[in-house]
Amino acid sequence: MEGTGTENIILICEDSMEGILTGIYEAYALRMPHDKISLQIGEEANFRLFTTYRKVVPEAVKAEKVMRTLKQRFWEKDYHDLFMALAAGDNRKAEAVYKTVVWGLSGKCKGSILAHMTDDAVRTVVELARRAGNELQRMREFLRFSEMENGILYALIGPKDNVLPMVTAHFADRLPMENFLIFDEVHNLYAIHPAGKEWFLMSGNVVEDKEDRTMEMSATEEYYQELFRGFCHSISIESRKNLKLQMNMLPLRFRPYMVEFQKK
Amino acid sequence: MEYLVSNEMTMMDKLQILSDAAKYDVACTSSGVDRKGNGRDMGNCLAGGICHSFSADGRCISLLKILFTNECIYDCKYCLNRRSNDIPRATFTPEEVCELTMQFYRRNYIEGLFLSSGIIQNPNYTMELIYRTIYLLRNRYRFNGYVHVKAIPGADPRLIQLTGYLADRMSVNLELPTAEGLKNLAPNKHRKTILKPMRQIQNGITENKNEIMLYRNAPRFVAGGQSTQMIIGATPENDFQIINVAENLYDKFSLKRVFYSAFVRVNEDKDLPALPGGPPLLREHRLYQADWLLRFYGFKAKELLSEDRPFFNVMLDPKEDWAVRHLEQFPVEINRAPYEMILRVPGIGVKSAMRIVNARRSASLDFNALKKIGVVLKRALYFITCNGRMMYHTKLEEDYIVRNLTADAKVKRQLGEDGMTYRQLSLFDDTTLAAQPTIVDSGKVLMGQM
Repeated sequence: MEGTGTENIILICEDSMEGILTGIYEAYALRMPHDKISLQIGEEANFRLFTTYRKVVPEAVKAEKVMRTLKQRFWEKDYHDLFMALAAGDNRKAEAVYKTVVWGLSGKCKGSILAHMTDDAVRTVVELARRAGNELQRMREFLRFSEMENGILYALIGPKDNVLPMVTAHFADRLPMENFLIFDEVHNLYAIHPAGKEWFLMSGNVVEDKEDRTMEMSATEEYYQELFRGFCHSISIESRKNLKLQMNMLPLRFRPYMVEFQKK
Repeated sequence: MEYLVSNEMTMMDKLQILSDAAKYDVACTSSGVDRKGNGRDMGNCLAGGICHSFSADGRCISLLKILFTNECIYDCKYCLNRRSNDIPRATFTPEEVCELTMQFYRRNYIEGLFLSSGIIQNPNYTMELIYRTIYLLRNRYRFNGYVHVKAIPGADPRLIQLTGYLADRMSVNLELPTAEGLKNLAPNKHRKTILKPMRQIQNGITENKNEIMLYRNAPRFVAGGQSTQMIIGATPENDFQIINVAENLYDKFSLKRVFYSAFVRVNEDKDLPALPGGPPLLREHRLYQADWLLRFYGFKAKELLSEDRPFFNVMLDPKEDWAVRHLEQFPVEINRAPYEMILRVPGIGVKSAMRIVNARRSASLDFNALKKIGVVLKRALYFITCNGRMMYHTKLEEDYIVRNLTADAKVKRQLGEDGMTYRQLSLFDDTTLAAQPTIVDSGKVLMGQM
């Protein structure tokens, strides 16, 4: 194309790990100065002048290639944080991860790239990774299973960031011999773990098409919920009561999903 | 008679009584052990610990914190479960405890079990019951999650040893900071019998570390370390004594944690202090702050307090207090000072200090850069320079700095009803937004400009 030397290119990626990694692959494939290219998630409302917009179709092969390179060339902690940042529910993530990767692969920086927090892209990555990491920890803490009549454990969650895979990995390690099912209602994703087998993810649309039935809770479920509610009440010390502190530690948005805050 | 009562009791009543009786035990952490699941049994552990809920007092609920029984042959004056109190008593069976733990754990309500107990018959009998419960939980119910148990002072060392191989953390309660206080308020307990099992567990952990070095698969003994707790404000000790005791426990008994529990007056007793203002929560808070300084910031107890100044400042936190009394060591140059010195600047914690040390390798830092990497400057700005410059024209004088540091505390005291607001540590400081509108602002509002 003529005039690409002066023009900026914006690659529009799908909001998924595969989409953004493919975007990074395509950005390198353009063989242009990286400051002329940026990555973006979703459509732009305000189109910019002198800019070409290109859609990137996610391709597993390309994403995997990028992933392999990152694994080889980055510190383990940095590699982990980059992927946590990709899970964040924030549109800045594609550009920030892309620019951080460019800097990391340029070889200009020794040691951990994410320690250089004076750089804007790096800082954004660290911030997003931290946010997604916190959300993951919150899910490990506040997720509540209830037992269904067929013995399956079911949990409903509503995380801001797409942390369901990490959450499921945690519970698969913890409850290897349980059949459990976690539904992320924000991202419309199911995680299914059959006892003693590998777990897998499923898009919500697929599951609903297959079967639409409501599950009943098991006979003892109500009993244990009630016991736990009582426990949470009696463990609190009246003369130290501090609802504000409780609110800081356990924000309201998590409470609808937790049995101890559900009034019977 | 009592048997009849406990037979009629439902599980709900028992759990209510025995969790209520355990609530004054502070240690509810599930940290210190990293153990992956084994692919077969239920449970794993994360080194950072997991809090599963927070009760109305804002404390975390991590473990199923219960007493095995609240029957007790002792008569400690501060304790709700003392022999002379007329309260409903209950006792679990080992199976009940196991069943409850498993069912709660499965539903992700808890991270594991915290089992303590009143002394029933004698220390040995009690310890045996605890051991039997944990044995059952680990071997029949095959529970692989976190277990914290109390070692009962005066119990047979062999029982404590056996229990240690099943538990992740053990603790012996110091109860009160000094032997004298213990003699006054807990006539049946002695400092010596409390320190003995503590020493035994410490030695057990050290030996076990050597064994593991030789044999990778040797059974772990109290892998999460040992902790203890003491009650603050029931006896007349000062803060200096208390942090000295804590420092000794860390240095000589290699404890993982010392917990402080603000005294709550649950019994009417002439030997107990009256607390018209409620439990000494601010004092407890200051002690925890000092505890952190001892463990993570390289401070010594004698640096923080002395015989002449035995109490912490109410207005300033221990680090600010230390800094304003040692102004000769400030200001600290952010771009050159060693990590240890940056750590001593008020308002800069371990995380911020690490970030500074890492970030300054690639670029010289100014105040803007500090803000960007998430260092909170509100308190630090009086004590630091970037490339030789202070942030504002602040004076390095004790009175001036104290006035400025506490000005904000005053505002907070007016806003918060109890004079204290605890906040979770966060990267970004948003409390400074609470600025009062000026006259010009209110004028603008009236004119419709804002």
